Amino acid sequence: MPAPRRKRLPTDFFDRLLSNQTDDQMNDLLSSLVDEQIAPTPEAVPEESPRLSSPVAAAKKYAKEFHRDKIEDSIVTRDEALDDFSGPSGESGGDIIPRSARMAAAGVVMPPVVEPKPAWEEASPQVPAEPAGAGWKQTGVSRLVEQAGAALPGADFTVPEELLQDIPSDQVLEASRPEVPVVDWTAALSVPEVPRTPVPEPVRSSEPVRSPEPAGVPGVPAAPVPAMPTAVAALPPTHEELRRQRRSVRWQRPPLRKPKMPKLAVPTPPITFKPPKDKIDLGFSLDRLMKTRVRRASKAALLFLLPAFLGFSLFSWYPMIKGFIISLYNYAPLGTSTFVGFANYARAFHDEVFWSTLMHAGGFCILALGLGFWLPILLSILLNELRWGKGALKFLFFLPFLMPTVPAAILWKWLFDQGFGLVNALISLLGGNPHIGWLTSPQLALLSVVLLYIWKNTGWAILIYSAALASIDETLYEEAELDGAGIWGKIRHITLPSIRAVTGVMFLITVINTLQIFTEVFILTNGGPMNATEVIATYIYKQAFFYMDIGYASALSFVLLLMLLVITVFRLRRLGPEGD
Amino acid sequence: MEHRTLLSPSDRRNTGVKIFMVLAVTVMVICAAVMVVPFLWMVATSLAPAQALFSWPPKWFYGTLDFSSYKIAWLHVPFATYIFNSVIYCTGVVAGQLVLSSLAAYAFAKLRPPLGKFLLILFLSTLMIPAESLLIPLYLVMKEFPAASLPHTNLISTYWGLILPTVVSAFNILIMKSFFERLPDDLIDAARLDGCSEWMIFRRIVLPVSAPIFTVLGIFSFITTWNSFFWPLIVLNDPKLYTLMLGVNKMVEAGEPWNVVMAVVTLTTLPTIFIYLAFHKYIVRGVVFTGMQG
Repeated sequence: MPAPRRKRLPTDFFDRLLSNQTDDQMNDLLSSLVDEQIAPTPEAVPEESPRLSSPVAAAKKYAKEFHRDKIEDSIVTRDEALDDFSGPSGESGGDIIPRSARMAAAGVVMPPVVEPKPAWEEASPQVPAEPAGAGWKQTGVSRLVEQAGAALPGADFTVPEELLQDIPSDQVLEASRPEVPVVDWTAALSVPEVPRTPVPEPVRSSEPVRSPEPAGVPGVPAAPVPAMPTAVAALPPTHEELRRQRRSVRWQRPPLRKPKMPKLAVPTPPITFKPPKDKIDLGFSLDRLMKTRVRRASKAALLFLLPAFLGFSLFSWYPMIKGFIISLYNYAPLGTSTFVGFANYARAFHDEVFWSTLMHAGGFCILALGLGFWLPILLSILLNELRWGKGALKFLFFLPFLMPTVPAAILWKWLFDQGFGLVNALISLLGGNPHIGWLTSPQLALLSVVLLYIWKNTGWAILIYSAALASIDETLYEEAELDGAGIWGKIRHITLPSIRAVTGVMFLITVINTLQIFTEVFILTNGGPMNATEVIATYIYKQAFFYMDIGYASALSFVLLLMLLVITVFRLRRLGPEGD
Repeated sequence: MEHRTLLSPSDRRNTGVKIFMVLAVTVMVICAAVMVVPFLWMVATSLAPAQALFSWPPKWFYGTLDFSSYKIAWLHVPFATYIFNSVIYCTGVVAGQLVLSSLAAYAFAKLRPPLGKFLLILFLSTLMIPAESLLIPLYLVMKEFPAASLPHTNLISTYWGLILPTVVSAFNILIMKSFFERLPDDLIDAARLDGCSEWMIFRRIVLPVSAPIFTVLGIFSFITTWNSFFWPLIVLNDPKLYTLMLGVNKMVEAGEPWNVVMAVVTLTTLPTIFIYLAFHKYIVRGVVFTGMQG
């Protein structure tokens, strides 16, 4: 290699390079450097200093000072730091493309950037190892110098000192930026594997064993091998290991990425406004004032809660306890009550009518779910597809819900009338039996009440399902179409899963409502014919106010409470944390 | 661009889908007819002459519109009394519920009461008690209010007995609490620094900004109370205190002819439909909200 001819860079080289020039201008600059045959430096650079160490060391020193200044100022906000970093001058604040990349893009043909030395060279004492500066060689001034050197083959530059005094802060920041950490692959790889051959080697020593120098990588110093805790000696690396080792030391170009925030020694303080409490003399302590006010508020809170607390204890807790106590008595409203223990509950257990009320309530629930649960889902999905008339149809569906339960039940009593009701008239129009006893035959009575229930509550359910359907993200459908889903597929895989939460809640609401149904049954059939529609609530009512057996009615109430409590707890758990 | 739904534009051009949609519309129209026909039948019966009720097959229209049933209904049924009672009942319940729930909810949301968490759970757990199972014990409590061992009065068959047990509502507390939590704390702190008492803050600052939630909950609990039947049935013995629903039921039990009954039913239903048309937006929002919340 011939002796390098040293050339002096023009003093404004970096300024021109770093100022926001177009690529063409940069290209011109570089070619002018070649053409002008920059004069060699008169003074000789001491040979013992590594080629690039002194400018970069100076840059690092500068960077440290710069940091200290910054710290002393301690007013660097995140944005300012970004501004400092992102571009040489203020006008290109967002420019994050490395200059080398820009040069490459402009067509400046450059031989590959001087390859970073592999890890073992990096660790060698030639360059004093700096804790945070593992990647500094590739950055900042040095890279520029290298690039310039590479662009002028055969030339070798030194950077004049005065340039280094004046390095713009952004470059220094870049220089001090730790780049992609260089992994010491040799160290990582040199963890010896368990020898594959089970034949035990003769024990050599328990000292740290150095693996012999791999034959395939000349000049690579032997990597230190951690001491083996066992007596098994490290085998010479196999061929496979050597190959892996050789492959691993190949340099990989760090990916081009947005430069990270330079790490400042002091984290930028969060920008919050704190009222200067102690600096303004208010004549009193604002802090203490606030504290007393808040304490006063939490005392006042008790007064705010008092009415509700009284209400709940008088009308919820106390009746519940009282109901339980009375259920243990043979309660006589006028005479003396006698304590009977759990006899009322035992009586309920043996009461055939009570069991039949449970059966009817369960049957009512199943009928209402089987006939009426899917209907609003289907109707709301269909309604959602309509382009016009949606509102009108929804209003028509909703009308029955608007009707209070009592008139609705009375109306249906007339519709179900055996002699002159509309339902029978329509059936006779279709050629059926015109005198079906909807409310008088024990087989049909329960079904009639269920029909009333469905008629009344479908519109309400449609309203809720429609709200749920409207909140489905439409892009889900688009994605499903891209995946080739048909209409049925979309319904099955998107619509139904999306409204699943609502369906679950509606299911439980229906169960709870049907188990404690009273008004519809009371008006339509009053439990008749022959107890065929007797449900729990009507039975309790009859026990309490017809047979005046209030103790027994209380016991039945408590059973109903426990039953519904189980379901409600289940429902609240289904609702999840937002349920309460 | 309209919010697209399940069917894509290309789906809609498909002939099979078009035929299906026609079928679907037919089904929906039939369903809507099933929903509406009872109402039409109600009106038709109420306008039919009394002797026409027992003709077979029944007809929709008998040549003349007979309004006599409405006249009889209005004379026989003390509508004015019933509606007056119902209005008192509903107003009392709505006022009580709103006052109690808003006070408690505000305290829970903004005032940090001691034992707040515990009290909140205590209140909300009443959501799990079904109303129907408490009515018999409540009747006994109302009979000797507040307790038999203390000096007590009998509230059965009084407005107080009717209204009081329904004025607490954990559900309203829950919804109002989540509303108040969204109010900014700074508003309240600023008022505190200016020397407002807690009551004044609530009255002058919080109440004016919470009108929407009061409207929704108020309308909703008004309708629920207006429609309620079981508790008035238990607690009221005096026909002078009957609410509208109870009175209508008693009248039907008394055995009036169907055209008069249908006239009464029509008269009872119409106001709710008018109320719905007037407060349509709030009611739909309330229904969806309560349904979603469970």
